[in-house]
Amino acid sequence: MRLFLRFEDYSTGLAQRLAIGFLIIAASLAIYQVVTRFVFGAPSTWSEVISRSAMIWSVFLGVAVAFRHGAMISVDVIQNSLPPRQGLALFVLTNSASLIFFSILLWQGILMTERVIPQKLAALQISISWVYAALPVGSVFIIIAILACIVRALQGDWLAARDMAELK
Amino acid sequence: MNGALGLALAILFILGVPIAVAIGLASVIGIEAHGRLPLLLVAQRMFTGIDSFPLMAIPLFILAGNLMAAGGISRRLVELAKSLVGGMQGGLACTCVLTCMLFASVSGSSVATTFAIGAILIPAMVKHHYPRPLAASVQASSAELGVLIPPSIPLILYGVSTDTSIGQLFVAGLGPGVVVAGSLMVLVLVICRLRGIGEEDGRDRQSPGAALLAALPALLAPLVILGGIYTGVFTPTEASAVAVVTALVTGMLIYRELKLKYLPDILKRTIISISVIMVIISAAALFSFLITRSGLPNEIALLFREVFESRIAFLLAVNILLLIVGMFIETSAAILVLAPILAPIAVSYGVDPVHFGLIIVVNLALGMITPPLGVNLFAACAVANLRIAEIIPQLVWFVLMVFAALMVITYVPQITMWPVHWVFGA
Repeated sequence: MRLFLRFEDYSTGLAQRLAIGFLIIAASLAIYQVVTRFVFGAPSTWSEVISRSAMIWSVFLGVAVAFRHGAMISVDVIQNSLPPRQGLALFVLTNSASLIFFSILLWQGILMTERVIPQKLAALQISISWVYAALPVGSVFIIIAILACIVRALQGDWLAARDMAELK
Repeated sequence: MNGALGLALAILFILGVPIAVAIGLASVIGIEAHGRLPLLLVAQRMFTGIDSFPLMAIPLFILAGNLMAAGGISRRLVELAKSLVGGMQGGLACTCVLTCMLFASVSGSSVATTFAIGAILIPAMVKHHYPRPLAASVQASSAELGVLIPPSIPLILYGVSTDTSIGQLFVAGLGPGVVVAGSLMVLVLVICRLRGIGEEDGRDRQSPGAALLAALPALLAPLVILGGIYTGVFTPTEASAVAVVTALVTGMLIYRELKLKYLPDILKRTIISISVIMVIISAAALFSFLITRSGLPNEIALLFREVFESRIAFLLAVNILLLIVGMFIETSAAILVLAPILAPIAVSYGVDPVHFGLIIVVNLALGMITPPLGVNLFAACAVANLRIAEIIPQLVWFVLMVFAALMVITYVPQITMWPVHWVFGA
């Protein structure tokens, strides 16, 4: 288990660095887009497409980081008002639901990515499946992050976090 | 399919499944219940849902807001507001409302506003003998202005999901923003007068001139951004890119408080906020596709028209519905799911879609300060070190006040539409 948690540290850390990289690319290209429109009079055609695509990669990689930090928005009143054991059980249950959903997204994401290989990105000679691949690749990172959340919760982290919130 | 979809969504929400996942899983269940739709839709719709240039304004405004908050503009905006309205009894609480309004013009999110301004003003109010719950209530409710004063993420979402002009929505947010800010200021002044709080608020203020000079670079950003959108020079997405540049220039070159070593942490927080909201948008796109395909919007429209004859009754019913929804569901998700259904109905009652967008956003923003799911309430309590239960008795007054403002905004469309007609022509 310790080995798995260390592996997750590494994989979510990687997802975070990649997500930040893609965010910087997306933002820079959006700025470049504005510059070309106002300075050169004609907006560049490729920068908008790449900018959008980089943002999609950034989002799906970033979700793994959000799960890791417990930042996904949810209605957690019931989880937090149940007695500790039941609350923990519900936490594991809801995370399993997330696990199921991202497994479906992984599976359908792979099918979709294969299916769109012949389609090219607008104005570019690059296959759109490079962008669709963000879904399955992101899902793999997300699934690892969720599994680690469950493991850490079972090891007592969840109760400790809730006690901290109570003390506030 | 609709029954399965709705029931699954409700159960998943109540159990506490993350909202994005709840919407996505409910959609999967809906697809399976339908039987003839391919599961491939999950990947396809979640992708196309966020593959949009107008939506790019959301992550870029979040990034710009985080950069600005770290770049030393919060403190200067506080000083400016203090020099303008801080002299009265209760002036510090008024300062909080006004600063939130100013900060809202660079940030698109209420939660970011709560953290940035609350971290400065809640301790200041507590030092001036404001009860802690009152200070947190003022902060939580004035952060509502963050989504009314442009740029506003919920307004972008409404614009994208109903095909309404985001530029017009941004202009339309000004009137309701002023109404909400005004009513909150009146409320805090009355409370302070009645309880004898904040009598020494007038001390240690800068002169308006000095404060304005110091805050000028911070105000330049909204001026360029909003001026650009209003005059039609920038699209909202282009404005958001410009906002990132102005934030960097103000923070790094003018105030020199934004250090390179802070960037990794800012980017990490930005990535988390962006992903959390964009994945909800992505899942909601899948959900909306299924809902629209099922013909539910038409059924609801027919039902509405049978039950509510007048526009007044319709708007009241919609407001009550949204208040209940807003208490339990996160704002972005609620807009993405409900706006495409409700906006066409509103138009058939003769409500302008831009005005309707503002009604929805003012209403759902109220849900951000009402439990059980009130993101602003949580943020203000976190900053003020309070438990939710402690803040409620004070908060009630603020909720009632914003509700009163909501009713005015709903039934006096001129407040919203006059600036729009003035800028864009009738």
